[in-house]
Amino acid sequence: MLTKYMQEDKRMSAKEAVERFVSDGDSVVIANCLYGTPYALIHEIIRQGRKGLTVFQQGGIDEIDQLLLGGCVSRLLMAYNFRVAGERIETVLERALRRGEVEVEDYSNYTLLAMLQAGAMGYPFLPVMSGIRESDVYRVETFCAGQKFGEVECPFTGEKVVVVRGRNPDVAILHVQRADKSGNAQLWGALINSKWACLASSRIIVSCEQIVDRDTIMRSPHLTIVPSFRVCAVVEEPWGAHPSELLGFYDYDMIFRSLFFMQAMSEEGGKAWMDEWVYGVADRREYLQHYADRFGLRYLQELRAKPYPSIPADYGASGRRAWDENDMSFNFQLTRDEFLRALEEKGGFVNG
Amino acid sequence: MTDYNTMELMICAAARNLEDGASVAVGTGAPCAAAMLAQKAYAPNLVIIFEAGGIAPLLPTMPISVGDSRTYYKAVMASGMCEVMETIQRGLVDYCFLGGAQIDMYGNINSTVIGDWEKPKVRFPGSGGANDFGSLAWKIMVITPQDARRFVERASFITTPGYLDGPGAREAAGLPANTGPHKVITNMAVMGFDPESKRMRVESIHKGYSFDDVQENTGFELLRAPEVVETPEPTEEELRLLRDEVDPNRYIIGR
Repeated sequence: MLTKYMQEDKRMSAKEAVERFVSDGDSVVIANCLYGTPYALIHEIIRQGRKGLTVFQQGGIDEIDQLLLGGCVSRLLMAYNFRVAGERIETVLERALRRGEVEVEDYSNYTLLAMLQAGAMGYPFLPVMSGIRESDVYRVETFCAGQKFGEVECPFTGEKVVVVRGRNPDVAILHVQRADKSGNAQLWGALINSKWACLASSRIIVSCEQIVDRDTIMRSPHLTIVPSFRVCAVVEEPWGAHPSELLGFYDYDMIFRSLFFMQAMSEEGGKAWMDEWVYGVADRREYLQHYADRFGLRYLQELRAKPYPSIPADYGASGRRAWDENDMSFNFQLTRDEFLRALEEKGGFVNG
Repeated sequence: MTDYNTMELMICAAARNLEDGASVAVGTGAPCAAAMLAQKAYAPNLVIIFEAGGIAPLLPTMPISVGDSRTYYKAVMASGMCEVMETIQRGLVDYCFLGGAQIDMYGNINSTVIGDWEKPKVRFPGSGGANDFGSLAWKIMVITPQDARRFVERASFITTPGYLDGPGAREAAGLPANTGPHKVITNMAVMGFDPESKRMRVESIHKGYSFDDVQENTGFELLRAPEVVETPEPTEEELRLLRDEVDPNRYIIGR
């Protein structure tokens, strides 16, 4: 349904976007991983206490841990979740697994992405690389039992092909460099899973560093990763991906991330971090203010990207028409009628 | 003799496998350092691929994740994960580096879990791209400490298939012929795989270690290559590039 989200202006706060478009029990895909992670939106989901989410995660650093600490996730389909420390440390995910608070279905990067790719393309399933069949990732099934992988016979070669099911999450959350107010979202840098994660989903919430005018979008349409007619909310949120990074804006904040990991090694520490950085602030603005109070604004400014601009693509065209206002060709010195007659008689101009 | 540490030796041993014009998929850490060193020292046309989508960047410094902005710096293409996976599926990635908690005698790797799956003893990061890359790249390389807890007879969970249970198993499973584990580089030795039995074998041993040292730190019986040599030491030039250009902050090689 192409015209579902056609409002001219979909700007709103993260609070309003999550209130309106994320519900308990939804399936949610985090549409940036490793890079441009939409932390402002993730923290808002946690603050609003969403429960029972099924989360698709390509590659998590600490965002899954935070959602687990917030009690938001009951099911996780994932390819990777970073483990920070040695075997003696109990991670947030391990704690949740041991207590039975979360169920995990493991995939490899491509098999997870292929489910979203199939969903985005409207396919019921998509073939994946056969190597997965030889792994325990294939054999061990949890809440997707019977639906995790399938096998079909190739109609052309008779070969057995492993397939994954097309998936259409309820919501995708995405952070980008810039978007216009109706939601044309432009992202550059590590594109990883962003496009497929968004396009597979029913609702897309975009947060961005800057709202730009439509003309800026139209002059570089190749940077648009999601068109506005798919987007239901646009949130202007400077530093919305901190402590991950975004080309042209800021570098990752390794020290800050380490702070989370150090604290989250204990249950109390993890809770304290959440109280301080998620529940203790009302929104991203307060988060940044708290950061500035605690570490100094200067440190945040140090993370600012140094410019290395792309060379603009030239979208120019001559605009010249084949026939002028008198129906005369500018290069053949023929009128359109003469041309059509000649075409009929000679079958073409190739040999004069 | 030049002074060097074990990590520097491991990185050099890995880098020397990468010939000019080859393509290599790397993660972060030591494998990335090896690829950067190879590119600067002897393989200027090495195509370094990151699974997040950066193709052939000129890395200004060490990236800390495969989606790090550095993996896009002066790259020839900024793509996404699907494009990289398609490239590997078409057989266009020569080498890849994988890590893991366990590797067995046939090069099968576990990077998912130790202990019961649902109530794990240790939950590792999971496959990420490991299964995809390990199934389809031509030559799989591993850099890991020599430790009997890591080198086990049989991986308790196979995240990424190696030679599975021996000769012909990969092909029988539908994986491309002539692909599979290639080198395992540790703090003690460089190991390869016996072409007949597909079992891990010692090919070179680092100065100061013996075959017995390597065997004692391995949980299964290692084979010996017909000629087991001493691992060549890093050259002055390799060390200079490694210390001055690849990892000047010494995140990987240490101080």
